[in-house]
Amino acid sequence: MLFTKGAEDRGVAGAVDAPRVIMMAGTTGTVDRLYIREWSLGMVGASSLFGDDEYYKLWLAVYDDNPSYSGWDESPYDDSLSETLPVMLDAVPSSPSAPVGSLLRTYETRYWFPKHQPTLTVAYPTRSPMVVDRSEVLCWLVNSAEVGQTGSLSCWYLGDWGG
Amino acid sequence: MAAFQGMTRAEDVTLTAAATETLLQLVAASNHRVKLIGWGVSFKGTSVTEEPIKVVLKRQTTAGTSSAGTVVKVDDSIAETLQTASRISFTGEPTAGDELEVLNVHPQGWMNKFYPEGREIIVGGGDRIGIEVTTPTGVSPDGAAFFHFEE
Repeated sequence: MLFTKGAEDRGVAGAVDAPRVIMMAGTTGTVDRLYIREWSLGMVGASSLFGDDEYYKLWLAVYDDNPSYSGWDESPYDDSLSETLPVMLDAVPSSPSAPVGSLLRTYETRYWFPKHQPTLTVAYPTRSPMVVDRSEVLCWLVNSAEVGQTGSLSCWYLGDWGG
Repeated sequence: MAAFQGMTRAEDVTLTAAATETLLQLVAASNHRVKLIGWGVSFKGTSVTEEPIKVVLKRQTTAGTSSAGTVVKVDDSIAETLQTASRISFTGEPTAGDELEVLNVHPQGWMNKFYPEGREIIVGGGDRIGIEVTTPTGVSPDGAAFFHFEE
């Protein structure tokens, strides 16, 4: 059961040399698994907001706990379905904060330069989604140590819940 | 087992200008061939006018001088252990094999590629595949890379 979840226009402070969660995916229950099929991040702001050497370090990692966030309600792709989704963790913080719990594994790392790459979208092949197992939380994290100013972030993911 | 997926990565690799360097290498275990599902690189250059970096996906036949990387399961509920390994932190280049893909990436840019199902690159049992970059003169950004694979 496909759905999207995310948030718009959230502030991400610059010059923070520590991991900050900008989006996360998981369920509040302990029996549901999620599959992440696509995700996207975009930064709003004038091109001059960022210097030539100001990068976010962006990585995807799985933790065993989560901070409390707010974001979009889940939006099913097929709204003719009568089924209801399990309760998902709210996806995005009003103010990005440190990850919570123990780090279980890290999937990948990217350098994200928002001046020239305003939107980053990753779509996984059908058989190769990112897996969020029971009681796990997939976090999109940034380190903004090299970024001089606060940026405004919009982001979403396409989740798949199979019951 | 089949359909057992993993990822491995390299990060904060300081590249040398005007040099050819391997960022990350995937090593299939003996008799366990691997499907390459996707891969990607990103760089953090400091100038919009820097020349592009050549990025080559190629087969390699040795580890060169390198250190063991970390592989992680994509589905942690699977009890089995990944057999595939990776190599990072190269100070000596591996022996080169066939080049599979080549492209130019701006030093402030990134790329990622995921193969359509049924068209993944196969790394034979005991074989190796690497992401190799060649930097222009005066271009030495940090680089990061990842492989997404299936045993």
